[in-house]
Amino acid sequence: MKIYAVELENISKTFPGDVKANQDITLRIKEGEVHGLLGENGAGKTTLMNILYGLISRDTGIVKIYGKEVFFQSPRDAISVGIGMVHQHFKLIPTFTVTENVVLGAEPLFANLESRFEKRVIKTEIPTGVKGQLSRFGRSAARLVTGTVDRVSPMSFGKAKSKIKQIAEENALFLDPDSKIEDLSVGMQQRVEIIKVLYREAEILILDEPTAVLTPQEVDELFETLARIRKAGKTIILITHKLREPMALCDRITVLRDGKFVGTVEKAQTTPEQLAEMMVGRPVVFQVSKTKATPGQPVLRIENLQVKDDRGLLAIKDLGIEIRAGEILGLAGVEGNGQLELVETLWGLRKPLEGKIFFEGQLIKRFHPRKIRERGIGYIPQDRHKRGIILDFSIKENLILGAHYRPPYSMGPFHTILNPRNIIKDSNKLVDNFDIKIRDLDSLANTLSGGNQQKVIVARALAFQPKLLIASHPTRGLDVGATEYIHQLLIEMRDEGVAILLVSADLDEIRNVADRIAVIFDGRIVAVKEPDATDERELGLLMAGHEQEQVTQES
Amino acid sequence: MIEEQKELEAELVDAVAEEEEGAFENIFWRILTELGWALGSIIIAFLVSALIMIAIGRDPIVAYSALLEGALQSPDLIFAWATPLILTGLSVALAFKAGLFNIGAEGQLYIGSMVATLIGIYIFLPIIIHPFVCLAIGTICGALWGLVPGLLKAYRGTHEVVSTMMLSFVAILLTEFLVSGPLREPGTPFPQTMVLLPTSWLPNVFFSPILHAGIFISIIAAIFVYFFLSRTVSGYEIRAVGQNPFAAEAAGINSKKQIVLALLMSGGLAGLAGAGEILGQYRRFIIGWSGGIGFDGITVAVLGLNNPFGVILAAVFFGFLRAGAVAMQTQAGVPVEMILIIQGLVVLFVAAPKLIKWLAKQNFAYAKWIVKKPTNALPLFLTAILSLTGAFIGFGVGFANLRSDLVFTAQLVGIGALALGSFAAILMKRREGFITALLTSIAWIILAVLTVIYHKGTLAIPLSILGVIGVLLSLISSFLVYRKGILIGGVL
Amino acid sequence: MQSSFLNPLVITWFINSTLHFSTPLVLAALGGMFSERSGVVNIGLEGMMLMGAFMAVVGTFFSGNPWIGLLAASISGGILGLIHGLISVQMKGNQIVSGAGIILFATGFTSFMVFGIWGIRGITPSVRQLPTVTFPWLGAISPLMVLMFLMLPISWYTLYRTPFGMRLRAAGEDPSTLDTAGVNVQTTRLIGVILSGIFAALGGAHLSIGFGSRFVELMTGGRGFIALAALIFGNWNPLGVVLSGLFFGFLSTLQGSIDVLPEFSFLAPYVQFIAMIPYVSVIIALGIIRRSIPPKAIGVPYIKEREG
Repeated sequence: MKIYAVELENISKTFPGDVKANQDITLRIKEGEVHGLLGENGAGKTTLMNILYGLISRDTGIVKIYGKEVFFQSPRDAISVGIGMVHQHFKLIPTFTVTENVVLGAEPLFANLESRFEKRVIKTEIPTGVKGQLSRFGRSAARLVTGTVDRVSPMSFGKAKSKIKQIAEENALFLDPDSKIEDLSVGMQQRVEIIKVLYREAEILILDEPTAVLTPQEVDELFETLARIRKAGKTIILITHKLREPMALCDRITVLRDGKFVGTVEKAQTTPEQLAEMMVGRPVVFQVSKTKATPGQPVLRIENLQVKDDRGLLAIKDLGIEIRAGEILGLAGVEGNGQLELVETLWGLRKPLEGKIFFEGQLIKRFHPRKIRERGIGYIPQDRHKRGIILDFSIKENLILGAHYRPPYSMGPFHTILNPRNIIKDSNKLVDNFDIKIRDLDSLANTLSGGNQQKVIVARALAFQPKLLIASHPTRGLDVGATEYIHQLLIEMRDEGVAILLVSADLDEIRNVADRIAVIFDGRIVAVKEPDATDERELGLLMAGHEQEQVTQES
Repeated sequence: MIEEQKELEAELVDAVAEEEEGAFENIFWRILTELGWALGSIIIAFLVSALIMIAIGRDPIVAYSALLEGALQSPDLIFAWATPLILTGLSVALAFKAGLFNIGAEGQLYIGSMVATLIGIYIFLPIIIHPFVCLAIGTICGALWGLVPGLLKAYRGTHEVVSTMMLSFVAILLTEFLVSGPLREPGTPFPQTMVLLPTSWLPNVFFSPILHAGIFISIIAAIFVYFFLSRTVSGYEIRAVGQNPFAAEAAGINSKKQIVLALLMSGGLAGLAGAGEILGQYRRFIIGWSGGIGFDGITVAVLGLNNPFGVILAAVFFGFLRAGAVAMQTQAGVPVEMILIIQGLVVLFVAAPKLIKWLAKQNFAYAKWIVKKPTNALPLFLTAILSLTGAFIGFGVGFANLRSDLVFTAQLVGIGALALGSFAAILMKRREGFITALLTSIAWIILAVLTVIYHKGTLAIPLSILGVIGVLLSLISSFLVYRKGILIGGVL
Repeated sequence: MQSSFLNPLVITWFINSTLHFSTPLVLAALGGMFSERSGVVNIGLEGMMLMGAFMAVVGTFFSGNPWIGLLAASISGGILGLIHGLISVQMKGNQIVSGAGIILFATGFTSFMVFGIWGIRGITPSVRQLPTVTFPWLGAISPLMVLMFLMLPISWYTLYRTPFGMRLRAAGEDPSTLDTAGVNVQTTRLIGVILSGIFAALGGAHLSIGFGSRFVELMTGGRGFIALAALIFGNWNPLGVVLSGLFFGFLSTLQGSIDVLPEFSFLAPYVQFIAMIPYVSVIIALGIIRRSIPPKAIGVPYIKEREG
């Protein structure tokens, strides 16, 4: 029998609020393979791996490493048996140098008394009875003393640096161990993360969505590195929601859906189509019932837009686009190519550096959410807990957020007083219209399920009959029912003549719902396609930055 | 980097929200739990303080009854103390609603009072207008003192805890300079200003020598703050910024403006507190007159759960402590500083609402139970606390009276033992716990009746109160245990 | 005192007094640095100092040995630090509220116990002071003053050169990173807060048995807050903290000199403005020059992602 590197058996995890993140998942990973863990956002991939890494406790289930059952209390335990994890949001401290970040938690100790003590003691048996108690006590005291001495002795950075250099050279991960993290690019930071894991001599590497933030060149480099690491005999678990990646790199692929195990397949015996079907649980080409769009006048026109991101780099470079009344324009692209900046600029949360935005033929000059909203633009933010909803506000307070300052919700001199009667009346109407399941209007928003929270946001955005709706990842993390409800709603709005900008990382969603698809790459619109006149492959290539000519040539 | 930090914060917010979720779904129970925790904190604080008293050889029962009697004998003193505390408490609570911590209310209070003093002494105005002008300008100047940290926070990102604290000391030193230099009343050894013009005085009310009309101002201010927070657009926006600044920003709320406004109003309330005390209580500016009323605003706001009406209750509670403190000192020989200890302990316990959750994590069965079913376990929890209190009184008074009345002592100690037993039984989750608690409580009532008959009057009221509450609580808990089948004895 | 400003005696007095005034500030501020670099705001320094000052006298009074007093002080400070840590780190309570509670409790407890133990109010009997050694120009130096100077290299070394220090700083910058690196964030922070309590208490002890020989009610008189100011003005790093502590100590001396040196008596009416300098300089450093950058995760309790 072949020994598995990792065996997860019947893992279940329920978060407070009855969110079933993992239900009875069984997963076996062979030694030395690259195993893909595939699933949509919210399928429970990261939760499962965080359980494996000891960050989250599991409710039920067994974890075995190399055939031996383990109980991790914290990542420390996982690290000690040779598991390393590269998180999606890098766990690096910006003000520390590369070396400091790499050694954090596994410092190059000067004397290393604790491990010397452990090594010496581990051979001796603990006697039974009172003597055993005493010796146990003595051992923990000794451990405390040696550990404390270790923690306050100097670190030998020289040793660490040479080890880092050696790892970097072996894996072609070139970087300067003395530079500060905040001065490094995202790709370089990821290298630091990988070195960090290798430095701890991990045998099992978990990478959580490693390509989400990388440029195509960096992705290629990453895959080369991973291939090299595999050649060294290590086991790699690759978490992803993109179909192409596991097909390029993995030996076997496990698919999760809605927190449940769907299946494990050999790469050689599967196709992207099959994987996609496993991922979404239905034939991919499920069609939202919709009629052909009848686009009217242009509602929104963007010309030569340039916007900076939070780091001060140009995120949107010369972007132009047009949306007409009664159509849904889908914006497809790999995350981090300027979608967030575009949406936030349209909603007035950012100021454009260059370029013009026309709404109904008029130039938008004042970029402020309130002014934008007053023009007739609605907004469904991509991060519902961060931008969309105030969890400690009641449902009715959330339903009027953004509209609260004007009649009918305010009254009195200068509209300074809230009008509770109107607020309750309209909230009730919205709750009925959008079928939001609530206990009562005064319950806090954090008592709602994710789908109902999203419905609150959507209801709020549609309550004042906008002419343009910016929907940014409107179905992220929602179950199938809520997703279909929102898709249906978007199409209804379109039929009523609303222009809709649908931003989504989910290509299927865009292909099904949108009337036109614009592909964004590196802050530019690289192509605009009709959904019927294109396929996933072409869109994928465009999203990956291939030029239009190249794409047509290849096909 | 900033973005990452924001994300981290958002994650934390989510995590907190999710942690809270589920346990307290109903808003009514949520409030009740918080209230219960506040009351529980007070009780625990009293118990710990009693231990400290015993440690230095004082009798806590005597001390607490002296405290109670002293306070009840002069209810006007309670409210006189509460008057400024309500306002400073509101000041801190209002800022807290915007997610800000105004720990410099003391300084704003001094500025407000100093300006009110100036106008009270040097400006001649007719009788009714004068105090209002003093109050208004004192409020405005307090508000301006709060404006500075507000602006620094909104536009320079300076943490308000640091800036309000530092500005508070600047204000205190500034008023100290004025009162010991240019404004000092000639010919006095003590740094103080002249007495205000009588036109500017706030009148005393209810025929009391100490309670002044400021109490109405405080209550009106509390109602105003409540109205402002819950019913006005600005109040709504301030709360939105305090709860989730990112969502507020996306909703078009100018968070900078709201931060400035919140600290401005917060400073104004503190300034009003200072001005009111000068006009109504001291009628001149005396160096260091406040003695920490502004700082105590933190305590009041924390215990009042940042709710305007809660603030009134908390301020009255602290006023009650202060009003009874002198009697406690003279009758029981317990220094007045005891109330500072109580106050500090109350704050420390209220600050740790996750105490029970933490205990649950450390595998205390009872705490686990509360975490699992907070609503049902609340009466059980209170029963347990009550039993402990009873045991404490039983042993405390029992040993104190050991020589004077053996029978009475024996009874008390016996009931104390019973109560302790029921506490332990409840803690161990045994059904017998509630029956014992019921018996104990009935015994308290009987003892109360007996003490009335045999002229041991001092303990009659607390004993009978304890008994009645105990009976009710243990009945409720037994009912819950038997009808709802709350887990007893098993492992969760 | 008949003196000219350049009289060696006066200079010695000046230096000695500055050192005396700085010691409690620097010790408390360096303690606060350990707490704040680990991500826990500690406005309770004032209370911890007061407790230290009181317990030092209690320990000395009952044992007759000031060193025992020092031990008692550091234990009491450590306990207060532990309480603050339990509330704000383990139970994720509000750090400011908890700090305020510590101050209130310590204020009440010390005054209460003075009466409880000695039966007099406000002031304790005199106890033995810590031994001093007299140096030329520096005056009488007590061991805690030596400790203050030793603490500069020690704390720098601890913070920047040892695994513990690195973890401490990581806990204050980004606790989730530290957690994924396999280090317990809460323990790290707890140790930081306990250290801050111990050093603040030692600073307080200097007031009662180093500088004077008895405990007086509220004897710290806001020095805990000045220590906090020194910590911020010193930009949360050891050298800056020590220098600003010395500077604020010098200001106190200047204030004191008004009564002693006739040359400075013209400042007497403006003594409050000298006392204001520490606070104003913090406002300027933080708000106007923006030179001070606090640790990033300060004041935020660490909650694991979706803690179960």
